[in-house]
Amino acid sequence: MKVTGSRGTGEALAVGLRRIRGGAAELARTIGRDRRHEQRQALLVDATQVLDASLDLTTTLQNVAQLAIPVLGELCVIDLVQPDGSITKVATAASDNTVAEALEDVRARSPVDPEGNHPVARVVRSGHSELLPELTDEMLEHEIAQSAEHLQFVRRVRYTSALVVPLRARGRILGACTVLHLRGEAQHDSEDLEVLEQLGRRAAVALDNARLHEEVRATERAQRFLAEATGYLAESLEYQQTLERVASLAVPDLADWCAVDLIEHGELRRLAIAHVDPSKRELGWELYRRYPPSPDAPHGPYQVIRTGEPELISELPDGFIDTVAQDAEHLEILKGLGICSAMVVPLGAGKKTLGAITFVIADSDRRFGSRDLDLALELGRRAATSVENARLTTERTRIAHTLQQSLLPSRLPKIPGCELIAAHRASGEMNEVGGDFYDAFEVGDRWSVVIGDVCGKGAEAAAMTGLARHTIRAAALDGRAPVEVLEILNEAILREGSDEQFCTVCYMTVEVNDDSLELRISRAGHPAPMALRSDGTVELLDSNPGMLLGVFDSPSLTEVGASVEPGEALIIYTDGMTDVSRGEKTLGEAGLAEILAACSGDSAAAICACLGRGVLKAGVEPRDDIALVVLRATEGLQGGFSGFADLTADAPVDDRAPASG
Amino acid sequence: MTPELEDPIAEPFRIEVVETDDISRLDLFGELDLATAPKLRERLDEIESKEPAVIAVNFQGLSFMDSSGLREILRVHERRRDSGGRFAVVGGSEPVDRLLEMTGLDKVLDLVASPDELSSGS
Repeated sequence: MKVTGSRGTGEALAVGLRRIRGGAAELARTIGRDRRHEQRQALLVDATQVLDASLDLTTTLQNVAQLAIPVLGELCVIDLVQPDGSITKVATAASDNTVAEALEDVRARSPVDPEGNHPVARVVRSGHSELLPELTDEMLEHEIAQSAEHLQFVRRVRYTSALVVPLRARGRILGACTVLHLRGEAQHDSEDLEVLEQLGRRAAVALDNARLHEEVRATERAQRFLAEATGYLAESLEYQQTLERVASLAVPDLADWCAVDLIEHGELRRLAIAHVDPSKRELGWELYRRYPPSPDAPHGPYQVIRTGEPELISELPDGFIDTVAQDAEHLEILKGLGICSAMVVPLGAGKKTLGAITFVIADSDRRFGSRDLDLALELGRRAATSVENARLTTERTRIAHTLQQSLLPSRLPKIPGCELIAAHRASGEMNEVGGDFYDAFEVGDRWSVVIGDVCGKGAEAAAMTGLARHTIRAAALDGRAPVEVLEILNEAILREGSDEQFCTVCYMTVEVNDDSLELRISRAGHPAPMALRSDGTVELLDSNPGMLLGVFDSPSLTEVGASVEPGEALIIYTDGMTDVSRGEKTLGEAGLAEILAACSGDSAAAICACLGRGVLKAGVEPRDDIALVVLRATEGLQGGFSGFADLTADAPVDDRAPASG
Repeated sequence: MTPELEDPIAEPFRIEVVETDDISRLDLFGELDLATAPKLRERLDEIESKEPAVIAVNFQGLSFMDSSGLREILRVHERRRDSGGRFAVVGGSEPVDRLLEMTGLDKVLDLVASPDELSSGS
């Protein structure tokens, strides 16, 4: 239609209109751009606040993802690189929550392949950002989709445009942040990229700090745990109890469940199960009873013990429980426990593996990592050392005790009119048999009382004491006089003992007369008997000291007589008693005589207790075993008893009760 | 005659070897017991292998000796007797003298009162 005017006007108008419309659009675009620019700046300001707010890893990352929406896109995903190199999604945010949830699902089943062509994998590898303003279906299929399901998802929500930036701190790539436009909403540009890069940088720093903080806390926790556990392990030789305590120590800080297995008599025995919840603990024992670990299982304590190598299953793969379950019910129960991470370490000391410790995390976000494994291995080592020590000590002590008991007389004869007390005290080392011996036995109408000391400790010395006692008995029962008895013993030792073995002996016969005890004493290189007289003085029943037995062919030995009046006492002892150190000096014979003189001679037991107190003053540790025999003539030579006593520093005063009769 | 050698604090065991002419003398100090006797044995074996005419053990510096020390003394005493060499001990430490007396070894060992009395050839 022709408009009055020139053609030019119409055109000019059209152009004008176009220009205005274009300008409006241009203006709109400009305004839009400016607004977006403002929004981006606001985003960065918010970021600073958000990142400063929390040091919790998960919260931080979730907040960062949230920040990007909706300014930079409709979907934001943060992926982190794990210690083993895999890529894990740790945060998702979306304008539409259902999208976020759906992505969680998909990604859980189809993780990003770190070696593949997914933009996140590429960015993590290269360290460079990627701006993908237009995602073609080909890209979706060949680069982004990690599985059919994943492809379906990205098509359904219509991935349109993407920005992927690395999260880098202190030169390391910690992960990547991806922002996506969906449903053709918009396309990313280089300004968006710049903003996201900035956000990424700040987020990475915050992430790094959070990790450092957690590492420090974890290390502290680990140190504390190890110290406490080691404390327990050192405290007690009762390793059953100790291991139970250590297992409970591990929960819930290190793990939700902890079990300790030991090999006993060739079989695995579970010694401890720990869980904070007692009912779960019960369940654990139930499971163990009904479904004990199978020796052939490719995983678990038996395998770890066989190989000596630990097992770390950070993330229990699907189907793993199925391989472990022994039947359908077992499977049900195990699944119900929600086990998601497990470690089994050897309870190993040196080359030996004594058992295994199992740690399990259930129903939790936590996973065991290499640092946890290191801690567990260290615990396994320390626990094993402790068990080993306890076992060896217990075994040795048991052997030593048994041996010692069998070598010393189990009963003492009752000598009419006499109190007879024998005491033996092994020196500090409980697991070494000593060479002290004593004996008392009836020979016709008399009694023989003897004490001796075989040089050395251990099995050889122990064997010699047996030989000595029996040889003496045999010779005495054969009617031999004291000197002869010792000569016969001398020959026996020369014959039977090793070249280096010798012993000292003090032997006496005791005859009970109407009004006194008559003694015939012969000693071979042994300390002299001491008599506590009625007037309180101590008399050394000296005479020829004789000579050590087992060294010379014809030791010079003599016999001497002595008597003990009613109320008086006689002691014979081994040199462990006088060798007790008193500061820089040893007690010595004179020192012992002093102590004896200060004792009230009211009863043999009292004398024994008094000597114990006097010799073993607090802090004094005898160098050697001590044996003591006290023979006391009762008033009127009536009654009498015999028994054993302990030599202790804190024996009660006036202890009249014999330990055993 | 011989000085009382008792230190204010328990002296750690040590051996000083003095070799003159054919005499190898081991001067002992401190305490000779189960823990330290092996050291004495080691040195004695060393000295023995050189086959000196006289081996002497000097107890003057010892503050303590028990049966483990005796064992070493008796051992070398017998080996020397078998091999024909001389073995002597120098007394003068009170606790050791008492021990030798009690065990009757003072009558059996070649016991001298001071190092000067040692001389080559019995």
